[in-house]
Amino acid sequence: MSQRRGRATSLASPTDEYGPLGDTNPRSVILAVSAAEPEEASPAERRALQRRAKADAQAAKKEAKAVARAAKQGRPVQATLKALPKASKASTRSKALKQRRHLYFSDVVATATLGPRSRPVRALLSAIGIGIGITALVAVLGVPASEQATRRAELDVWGANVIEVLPGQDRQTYEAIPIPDTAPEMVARIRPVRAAFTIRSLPDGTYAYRNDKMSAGESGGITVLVGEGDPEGALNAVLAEGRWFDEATNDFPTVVLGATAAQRLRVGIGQQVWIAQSWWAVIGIFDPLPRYSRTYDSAVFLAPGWAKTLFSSEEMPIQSIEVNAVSGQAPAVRSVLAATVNPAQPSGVKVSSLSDLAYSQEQEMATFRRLALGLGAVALLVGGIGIANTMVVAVMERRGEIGLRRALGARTGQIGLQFVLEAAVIGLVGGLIGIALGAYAVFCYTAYGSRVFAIPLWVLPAGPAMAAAVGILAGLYPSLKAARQPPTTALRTV
Amino acid sequence: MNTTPPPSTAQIALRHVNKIYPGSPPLHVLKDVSVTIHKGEFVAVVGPSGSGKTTMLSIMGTLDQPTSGEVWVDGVNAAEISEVERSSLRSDVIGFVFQQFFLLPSLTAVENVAEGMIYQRIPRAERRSRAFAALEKVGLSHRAGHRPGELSGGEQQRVAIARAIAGDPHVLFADEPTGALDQTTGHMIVDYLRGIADTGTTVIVITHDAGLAAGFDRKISVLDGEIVRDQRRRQPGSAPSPAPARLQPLGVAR
Repeated sequence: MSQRRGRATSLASPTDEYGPLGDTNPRSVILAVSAAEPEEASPAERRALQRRAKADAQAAKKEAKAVARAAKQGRPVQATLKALPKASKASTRSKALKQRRHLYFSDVVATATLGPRSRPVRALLSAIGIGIGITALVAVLGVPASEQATRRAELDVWGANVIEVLPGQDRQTYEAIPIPDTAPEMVARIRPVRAAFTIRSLPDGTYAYRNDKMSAGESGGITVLVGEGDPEGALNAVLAEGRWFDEATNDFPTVVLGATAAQRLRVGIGQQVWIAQSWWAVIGIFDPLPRYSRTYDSAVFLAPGWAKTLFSSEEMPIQSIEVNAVSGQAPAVRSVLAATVNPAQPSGVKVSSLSDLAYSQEQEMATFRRLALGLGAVALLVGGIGIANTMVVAVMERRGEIGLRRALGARTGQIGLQFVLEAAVIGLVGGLIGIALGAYAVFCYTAYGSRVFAIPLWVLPAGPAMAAAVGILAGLYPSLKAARQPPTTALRTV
Repeated sequence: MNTTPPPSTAQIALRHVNKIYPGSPPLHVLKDVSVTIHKGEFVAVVGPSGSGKTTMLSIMGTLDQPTSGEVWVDGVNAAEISEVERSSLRSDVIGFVFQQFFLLPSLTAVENVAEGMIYQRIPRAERRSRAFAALEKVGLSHRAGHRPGELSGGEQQRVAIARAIAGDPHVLFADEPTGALDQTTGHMIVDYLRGIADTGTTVIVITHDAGLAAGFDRKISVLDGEIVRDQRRRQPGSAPSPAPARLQPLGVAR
């Protein structure tokens, strides 16, 4: 290249001028045109031309010699010509041209983000369309995941092995079949049962009051029950204060309160409550119970020993038995529970466990999920159309830039790639927006129901990837249009 | 095609180039045009609009293909190589300056100049230093950090020139580079282009402005798809009309 420079500088000298151009009939001077070339040259120019001619002549001579030599030695002439310095220069040039040079990765990124960077609002708006689709998908996946995580967390704490025994109904008469009084004892004998807690109800109108001056007949939302057995082992109920009944307190008028009940009665340990025309001393208060036994938060549990002195066993039938099986043995315990509780009429016993509840919730969730997935898919489609629209406009607006890039040496593929990637970038941004919004939606949902926040981990990369894929699909047609734009547009665009 | 390359001193050589746009009737834009432009020449291509000069430039610059004929650029027949190779040829040896500047509005002047070299795969740091050097050549190094919207038309065109030369092309094409500028600014642009030609780069400028064309070493006049006149600059004191001395087939130099 340096020789090229050195030789050529002599051509320019800025002192001379042309005469006016338009005064002669152009046709008449045609013959003069190229003929004038050597004669009009300045001395320097002439020297340059002479040098050129000499170089050409030498090259030609060399070529002829080589061809002659090749002919003598029987080598193919074409190959010989290729080996010559001048010819080889040309061939290295064409070899260099054949090599596809790729952009640096940073430049690929820079060109793909050029459009969105110069028109951020437009890019953002079309990204939001796709973002809503991803938001829906994240929410659809995140809400059930949170539900499941919440359930799992609770099951882990206390629930996977909890089985509840309830009185059943006669299949023909629909009459309630009471659980026999012998049941708690029998249940306790099942070996893999870790703990059991029997809850008995009391006659209607048995309410708890703060003192004996309260107007009777109002429950105040508090249930009075009799609790017998091991609530800590069976329900994971934790006492905030005081103790559960022991042999001493069992036979005295004592009560243990659920958290809500204690709050409503506004009583503490050592104080008394008015139940069934007598005073009962508070000896324990529960913490709020795990989710599935939350109904007992508003319960007052009477000491079973003392309760038996006031009510007959018909007056306080068994409402439920909470059974906690040894880990992994729940199915085994379940299978024998009915027959153990009521050997005479096992079909009259209702046995349920938390996993039943979980299953029915999952069923509800599945319907919701299908609906939301459909919505998300529609939003993605609409978002994709939005990106396609943006890209079509961008390609039309940037005809000049495309023409310029072609003139700068961009290949059709590089132009196409630039716009495909631009669409992908818009999609990707939308995907990230969607992940953020979706996560926020799931967070709000879980915060509202005090659930555990969870989003499947794979969603975090998959959401943006999906959005980018939609962007690429949407960008294909506009990019093809950009790539096919003829390189001459930069010259013609005004 | 069995063809002989033009002499190594030729930067651009057209041989019997025809360009016909299909249609009814077909448009014969270039009619058997042959011309050789040597390395380092500073050439103006003039002619009224519709004369075919833009088509000629786009064919010389490998942006368009002739219907027939040879187009030699830097020793390569551009009519025979693939579009991919022509793209490489453009990035390596050809620079363009357009009437409409085509600066990217979101990039600063120096970034615009550097953008011109990305397809040559020049490393970022080197691109930047070369972009600064090119801006210095057009006297705009003090405006390097400004965006096109903050520059005057003449300054924008100078940035475009810097972009075209920063990649070190062997030949620079300018399509009506002063078309969007006032006369004084236009003359200044031509001065910068001359300066580039002085450093050895072949510069070919299309213009319909006869007054502007006066500053060039060689003037090729195009009319109705043909070269009607090809003049070199007159020597001081020589006869006012060109003296035909030796006839030679148009443009074919060998």
